[in-house]
Amino acid sequence: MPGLRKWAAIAGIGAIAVVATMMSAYAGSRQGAGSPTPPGAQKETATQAANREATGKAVPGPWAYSGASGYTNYLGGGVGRSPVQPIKFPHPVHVNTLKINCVFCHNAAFKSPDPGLPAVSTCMGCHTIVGGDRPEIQKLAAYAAKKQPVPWVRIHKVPEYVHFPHVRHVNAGVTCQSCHGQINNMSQVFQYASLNMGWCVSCHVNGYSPAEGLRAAGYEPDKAALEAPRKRATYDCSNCHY
Amino acid sequence: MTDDREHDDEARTDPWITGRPAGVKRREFLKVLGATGAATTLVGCYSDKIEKLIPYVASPDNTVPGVSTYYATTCRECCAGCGLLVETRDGRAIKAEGNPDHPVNRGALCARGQAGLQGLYNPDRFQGPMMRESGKLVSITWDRALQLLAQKLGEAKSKGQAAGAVFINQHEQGSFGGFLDQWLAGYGMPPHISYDAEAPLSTITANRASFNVAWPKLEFQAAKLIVSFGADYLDGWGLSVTHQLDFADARSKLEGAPRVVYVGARRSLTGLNSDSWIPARPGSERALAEALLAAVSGKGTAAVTALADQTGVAAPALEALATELQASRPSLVIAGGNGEEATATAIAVNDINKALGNVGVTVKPAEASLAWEGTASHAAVREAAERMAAGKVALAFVRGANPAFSLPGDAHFADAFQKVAFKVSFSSYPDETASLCDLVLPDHHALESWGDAEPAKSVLSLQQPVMDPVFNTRATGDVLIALAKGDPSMASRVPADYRALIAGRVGGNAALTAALPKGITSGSALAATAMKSVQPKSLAAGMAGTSGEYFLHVYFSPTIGDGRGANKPWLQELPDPVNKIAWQTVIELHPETAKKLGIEEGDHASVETKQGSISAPVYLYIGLRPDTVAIATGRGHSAYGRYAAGCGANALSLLPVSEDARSGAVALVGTKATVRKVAAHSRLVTTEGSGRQHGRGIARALSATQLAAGDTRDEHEKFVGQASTDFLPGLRSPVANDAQGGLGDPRSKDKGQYDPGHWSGVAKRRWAMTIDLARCTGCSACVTACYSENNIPTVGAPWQGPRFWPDRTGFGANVTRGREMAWIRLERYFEIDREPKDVEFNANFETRVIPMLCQQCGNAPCESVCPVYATYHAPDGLNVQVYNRCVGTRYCSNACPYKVRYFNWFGYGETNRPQYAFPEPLNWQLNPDVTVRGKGVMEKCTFCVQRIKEAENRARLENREIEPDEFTVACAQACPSRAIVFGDAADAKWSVAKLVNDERAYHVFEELNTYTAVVYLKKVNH
Repeated sequence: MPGLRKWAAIAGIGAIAVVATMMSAYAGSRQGAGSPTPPGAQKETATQAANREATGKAVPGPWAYSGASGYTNYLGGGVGRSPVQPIKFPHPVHVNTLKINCVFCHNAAFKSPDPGLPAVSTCMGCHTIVGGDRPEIQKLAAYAAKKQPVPWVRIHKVPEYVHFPHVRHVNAGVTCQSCHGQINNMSQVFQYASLNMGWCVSCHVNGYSPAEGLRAAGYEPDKAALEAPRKRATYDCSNCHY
Repeated sequence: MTDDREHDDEARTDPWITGRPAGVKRREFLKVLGATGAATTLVGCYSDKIEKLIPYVASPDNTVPGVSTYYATTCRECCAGCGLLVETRDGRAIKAEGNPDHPVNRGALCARGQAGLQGLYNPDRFQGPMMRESGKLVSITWDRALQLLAQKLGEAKSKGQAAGAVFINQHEQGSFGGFLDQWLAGYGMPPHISYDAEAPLSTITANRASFNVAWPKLEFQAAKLIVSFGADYLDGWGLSVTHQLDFADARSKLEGAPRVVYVGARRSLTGLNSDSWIPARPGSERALAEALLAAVSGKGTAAVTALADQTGVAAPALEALATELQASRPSLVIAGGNGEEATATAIAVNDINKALGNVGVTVKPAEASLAWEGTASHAAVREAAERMAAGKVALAFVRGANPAFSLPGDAHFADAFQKVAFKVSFSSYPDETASLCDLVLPDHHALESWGDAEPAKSVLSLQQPVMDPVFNTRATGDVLIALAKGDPSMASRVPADYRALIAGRVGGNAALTAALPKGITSGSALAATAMKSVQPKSLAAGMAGTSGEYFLHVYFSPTIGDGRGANKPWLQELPDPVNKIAWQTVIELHPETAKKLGIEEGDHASVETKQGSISAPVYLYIGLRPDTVAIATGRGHSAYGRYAAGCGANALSLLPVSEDARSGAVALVGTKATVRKVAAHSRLVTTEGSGRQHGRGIARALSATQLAAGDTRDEHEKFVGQASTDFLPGLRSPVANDAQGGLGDPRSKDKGQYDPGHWSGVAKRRWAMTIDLARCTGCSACVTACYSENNIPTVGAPWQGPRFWPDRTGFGANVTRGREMAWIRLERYFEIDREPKDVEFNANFETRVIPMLCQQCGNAPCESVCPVYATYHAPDGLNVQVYNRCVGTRYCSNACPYKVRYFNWFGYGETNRPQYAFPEPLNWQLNPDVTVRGKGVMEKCTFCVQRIKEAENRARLENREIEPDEFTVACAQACPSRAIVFGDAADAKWSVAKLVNDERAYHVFEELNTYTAVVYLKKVNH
């Protein structure tokens, strides 16, 4: 291949890449447009509003792209992704008002790689008695009556080639909110962290600060937490990739 | 076997590589590629795949999502009755493992037992009841099906046809047979025929005659000499796993281990594991056994010497055997074999054991196995077929068995069966027999049903469902109970359901619940009604009267048996331990014979008998008499699902109806046949690269005398840094010497996690493995264990090859191109000085088998060539493959001296590709702890890193360190020879730490300074 043609090929490939990038961006914006947008919220998406409410600062919406891992957008959203769930489950009511601990429902988080999702029967344990007149709970009761599971839409997911054991993190004292954000304040759950590898490794290498973890969970760290050393973890590839 | 097929083949034939314009230099090509890569990276990936999180409706008790639950049950893949622990995750069975508390298999499990899962999840199973309507099977409801059957049963009763009905059931241990006979009697039908094509009927009959039990315990460890007359106890014959465990224990005594002699026309896997081979001509075994009996009874060896002509074996070899038998006491003489005089041979062998005082020492009738209680003779099935052909049978039932495939062709079972007015199948699979039936009431798979087995007197091995049924099937026991409840004369006599019947055997519901976790309890199974004996039928002039130049030797495939394994891709892809053939039927000929016939390996030959002919490619095998042609059973199905139908040829179709006069067993060996060259050639679907080691010292051995003299090391110059002495696995291995500095800074002196003083202590461990070649028999159970544990795709189905290569389709096409994915494989080498494809017959050759897997080198050639750091060394000694980093350059595979890296040429793990290896519901079996690899990714043995991580997680959860020998890898766990030991070589408390320092220890290719973490212990020859 003569020299000139070779460099022409590079320019051509570059052009293709630009076009592809634009098309991808368009697709991304279409995805954003597909998200639920309540009336009167043209400037700020519902997700962004929820994020702002929950964290007190503006968090980028579905346009966020970390660049570190292609799979950040694995589910078509990445940070801020907030799909509509089949039942409008209010975490704030259950956690903040009723003071139910996370692991009451996600009852395997401290003993299994999987956190566990409450069975429909667990929900109905209370809702057979409580709130039977509300439309969202009637939806739940309908699932229970048909003996069908609730098809929740998954938000937090690492790719198939990553193995994330909840058990190790929860037992090490990592607060749920460190990775999932203040779900206790989210009226509709959204993805808080990028969940990309750089984000994982930053904690594994620099260590997890119990004080920061408590702040993330909305508590003021006590003296012991402030003085506690950062918890480190190994960062070998085979820790997670196998 | 370590050849370069995949690399050079690809370079030669890939049009993209060969068709490239000649002008492009590699450097320029890479520059363009680099620019392209940079541009496409910007684009990133995008997917709008929406996934659901589906919770339980009601949470099951005592299970934790993401954590495995184990259920103890009984294996039904053959009738040995091994105990299983089935690993289930979130309601799905994902792995079958041996139950360590079970007396039959003591925690080990063979390949066929493990592949039971692929029967459970077989995509071709009947998904619900079917009925024949205008010639085709169509789906119906269970209500309709039961109604129809009840009506037919009523008709048979009222018309007086019930007494002529036939029920053929797959022989299995336990109460089902007894229950079935009671049910049949209720309708006035005769007892069922408990049929097992693979049952060693002649040995059983002889044992009953000699010892009054079917299967005395064989005490291999007590023997000083083991002589087998065609008993293939390492090939799946008898109580396969029990015999193998005992045999390996006997051989692991090293200096005091028994010498092993094999008598038979073909050296099977058992033969290859024997120290010497007496290749007696088919049909001469009885005379030899009787002459040996005379010799050991003090009547001299004259009769033995006189047999040289008849057996075709030189007199000195026969005399040596007679002398050795007399000298080595106690010994163990075992008779198997499937000739027309097999029972008479076995009785003579039993008499030899009696004469030598072996009974009670190595042959223990007092500790008999009950595995074959109630087995019908093959003659009974053939006789039933004759009644069907004569139109005397109006109603026939078949469950589990497949006589249309597994009876000799001359029995014409299928034709006879079609004459039955109403045929009912309880088969789960669309096999040849079920395809002929009028009504199909698919049974649950064994892993979905209740049951019991009585492997030894008063020992009850329980069978329980490990998961909800995959399809709309029903347990046959419950179907029969439902039918009986609808019949007023029987309703009061049947239990509530089949589970209640099992509970009754162990003393009630509470006792059953208490016994289930262990899987073993005391109790006895319901006995079946004794069958009327049937007169065996033999050829008028015997086998000798058949015509042809060659003896036909049909043997049961060690991998797929009589054919029931053929629908399980793991077993189809598992190379035969002897000839290394997968996905294919081959005709085995001795090279000498082939030369005479002008046949080269891969040329097709036809084998003809009076009953039929089959044509298949020829495999040249030195362990076969030159006057014999051998073919394995199991392939050549016309039905039985996508993996079985159309693959290979059925050797049983060549056989005449010739049954042993006393046992009624079908004679598989001894028929004469004509062999002709056919003008066709195929590539063999084989994983055998070369049949010998070419002096590479891969599988090493030493003699018992050398061992006794302490002469265990190989002769070569000693030098400092020698892997065999200075760098045994453990902290002495230089694993961290080239490790990068902290966080990848090359200038840093900090070794980070690779520093043994690192706070995490990861670098203090060295995962390592030892494989004892004195124990390994080559059975290949480890291979299937690995497929099961590590989501390894099978690649041999016709649709898994390239879409544009018409001559490369067909079963095994990918394997012929070296694309098999077995992370652990069995290499088999003949210790001869010439190519084993071109030798004269010589019975004296040694065979070595060696499991080959990633050696987890401390100084790995693959790591330094990876351009993207996808393979690297972990601080704990693992050679890690990071799938998501891998870009598929395959440099690592090229660099690997052991050829243990495997490339995903096609999207075997991707649902939307035609090559997908796990069609629904086979994918239910996938281990959720292991990534399913995509196209273009390199993979290899990981030392079951997911099990290491699981153990670490569990230990941390319980706030402790991992205990020595707390867990093991999948291959070691399954191994029925207990040859593989895994653990931390840096911690003296682990078993493996002692074994790596064994005097027989060596590394393969240690001259390459790879410092492998897999250490082999030399085989010991006697």
